[in-house]
Parts: sequence; C-alpha cells; structure tokens
Amino acid sequence: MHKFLVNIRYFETPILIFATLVGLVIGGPWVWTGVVLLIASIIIDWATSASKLFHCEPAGRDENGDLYGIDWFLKLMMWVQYPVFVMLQLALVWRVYEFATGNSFGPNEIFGITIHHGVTGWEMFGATVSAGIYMGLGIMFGHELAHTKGPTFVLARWMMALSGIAHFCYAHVYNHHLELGCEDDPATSPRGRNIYKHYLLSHFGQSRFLYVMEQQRLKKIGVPFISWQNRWIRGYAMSLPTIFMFWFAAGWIGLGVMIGSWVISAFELEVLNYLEHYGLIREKGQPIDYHHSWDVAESPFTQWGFIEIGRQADHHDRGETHFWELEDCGAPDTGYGYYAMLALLLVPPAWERFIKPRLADWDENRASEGERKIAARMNYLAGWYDMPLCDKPIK
Amino acid sequence: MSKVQQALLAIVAFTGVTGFILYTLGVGDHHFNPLWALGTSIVFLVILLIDVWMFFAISGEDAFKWDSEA
Repeated sequence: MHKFLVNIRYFETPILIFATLVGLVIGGPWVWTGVVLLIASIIIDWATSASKLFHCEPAGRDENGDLYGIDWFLKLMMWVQYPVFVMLQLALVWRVYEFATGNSFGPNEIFGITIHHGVTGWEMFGATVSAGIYMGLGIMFGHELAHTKGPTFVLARWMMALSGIAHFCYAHVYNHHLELGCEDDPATSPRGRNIYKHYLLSHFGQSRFLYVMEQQRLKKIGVPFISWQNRWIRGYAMSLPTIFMFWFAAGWIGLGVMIGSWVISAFELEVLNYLEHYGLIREKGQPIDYHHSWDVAESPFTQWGFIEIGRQADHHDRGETHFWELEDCGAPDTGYGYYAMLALLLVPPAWERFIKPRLADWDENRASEGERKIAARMNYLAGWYDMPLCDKPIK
Repeated sequence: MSKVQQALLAIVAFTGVTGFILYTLGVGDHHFNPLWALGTSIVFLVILLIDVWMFFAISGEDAFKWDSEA
C-alpha cells in the first residue's frame, strides 16, 4: 500500500493538467479551470507550508534497500505527458478557431457532458491563461527528461518546443548544472533582481548559451552557422508545428493566443529557476555544494506536484538521478512551497521582505569565507544596506 | 535607457514593423490554405530567430553580468 501511495502521489500535476484540458474541451466558464486550480494550489500550499505539520519525506527505499518508486511506471507517466500537452494545445487551437471565425465546430456532447460552443473574448482570455499555466507546470517533466540521453532527451526537446523553449534542454544540463550560483549561469538570480527582469535575462541568457555553444562547435567542424546541424536553430524549428497550428486555425488572433500561452509557460519555467537558487552564491572554480540550492521539505503539495524538483541540492549533486531516488540532504530551505512563493514573488517588495532574513542566515551559517565576501558586495549592489553583511565594492 | 531596454525596444519595433507590413500585404487572408500557412509560419519562425538574435546583439554580454544589476 505504501509503495502504491508513493507512486500515485506524483500524479498530482498530471491530474491538474488533464482537468484543465477537460475544462477547455467543455468550454463556457469551464475554460477558467486552470486559473482556478492554480489559485487553489497556492492556497493549499500556503496552508500546508505555514502549518509546519507536513514534513515531506522522499520516495525512499524499503527495508531491503529497493526503491519505492516504480521505474517503468513513473517513466511512462512522464512520456505520456507529451501527447497530453499536444491535446491541451489542440484544445486551445480549437477554441481560438471558434473565437476567430465565429463558427461552431465539433460535437455537442461527450460522455453525456454538454460541450459549450461559441467563445467570448473573456473566455478566450481564460482559455489562454489556463492552457499557458498548465503547459508551464508541465515543463517539469521536460526538465526531468532533459537529464536523460537518447530518444527521451529528444522527447524533452519536443516537449519544451511546444512553448518555444527547446534551447532549455542543452542550456540547463551544460550551463546551469555546471555554472550554478555565479554570473556565468543566467538561471541563477542575483540578490535584488525581480522576477520580471530575471525572466528576460534568464530566458535569453540560456538561449544565448546554446547560440554561442553551437557557434563554436560548428566552426570547429567546418559547418556554416545557418545549417540543419545547428541545434539552436533546430530547437526553434521544433516549434514550427505549434506556430503552424495556431496560424492555420485562426490567423493573427491565433498567433496572439499562442504568444500569450508561450509567455506564461516560459515565465513559470523562470519562476522555478528563480526560486531554486535566488541570491545564493558560489565562488567560481569552487565545487557545487548542497548549500547552493534552496530545498523544499515542508510542502508535500509542492514536492509531489513538482515531482521532487524541490530536492534541488541532491538533484545538483546527482543530476542524472531520477526524481524518485532523490534524498533529503539538509540543504537551505525557505520553509514554503513553490506555489506559495510564486504568489509572493509576483510582488517584488513582498518577496524581498520574505527572502532577506533567510539570505542573512545563509550568509552567516552556510556561506564560505569567499562566498561571504561576494554576498557583502551583492547586498550592497542590491541596495540592501540593512543586511548584516554589506560592503561597498572596491573598484 | 539600459542595453536590455534598448534590446526590448528593438524587438518590439522590428516585430511590430514586419508584422504590420505582413498584415497590410494581407498574408492573413489566406491562412486557411495549408501550404500558404506553412510558408508564412516559416517566415514567423525566421522573425522569432531574428528577435532572439537581436536581444543578444544589442544587450551584449555585459547585460548578463551581476554587477550590471546596480
């Protein structure tokens, strides 16, 4: 029974994604399902995190040392997400077709449930936001698969390409996991940077990493930059089916809806990057350690929903280890789940009030001497003059 | 205006102008034609690549440095 519960808990997000898909198919006010589910997730995450009653244990092993996580079952769950995402996108395409043309299309009833036809502007907005939210939350499956090799890595690229961010798979593995915690990693946010600026710099910074990597690689093998061997170009080209679908179905309006859903899902990816390492510092050349990541141990809703991505410290120590094998390793912890912190960071002053005491504690109890010097400089640059460590940088 | 803001402005201007030209040329009038839709989708993909490249070119490497946050 315990083994069953350990495995079934990772279906939290797939169920929410499927519910959003069903909402889009039913139509009418149900297109807001994704938005309502996100708000509910934030409330549940706040309540469970703040109560401190629910320490979340890793999937773990039984008394014989065998993993509770069932390898084939959880892998299948991740692979199946790709067709689900495609269906979610097709449902959005269908709705934007109805909205743009005013034509009803499709059945009036499925399994006895009435399907609403005709989409108002407000409902189109709700459908776009709902689909964008759950395309974005589904990116965690693409992240997990990006740490594999062969066909499943390619599947991760296709998964990310649905939101126009296929470059993430290379940048995450070959840049973020090697350069974490210093300015060579665009995905690590320095102190004082708000999520909106981080979204831009991290998104374009990761794309730039692959652009430069391919520039150097292709030059070395004597292939021109503009070629099919260029994985930066190929990554964006993998988004062509999505562009085609929206454009073919609904013209300019379809393109606008597609861009809207892309912006939301890419934003959520950068929210995760932001929360996982915000303000943490590593001296260049020093090894990546457990204290260079924020873990989430007090929120089962986050840990199950984000397939243990909150065990960041162990994930960065053993990048190719499956999520159901990750362990608790005493890393820094803000004490709140990702959903709860998402609500905070949307208001940058509220986020700073929340995170500064935790960073001050990190500076004092976790940082090395070299990291403390950098922290003092970064606190000054962030304008955090009330931090215990704060030194004007010497030019 | 910072380099990042300049890059964003350039992207908005370039995308806006090319989008307006394509709109006035009426490329959207034939989007139900699959071959036409595929061809114009490739044009949009090229515009996206140019947009991303412009961000790198205008913002420069220093935009990603932590000291530029101040």
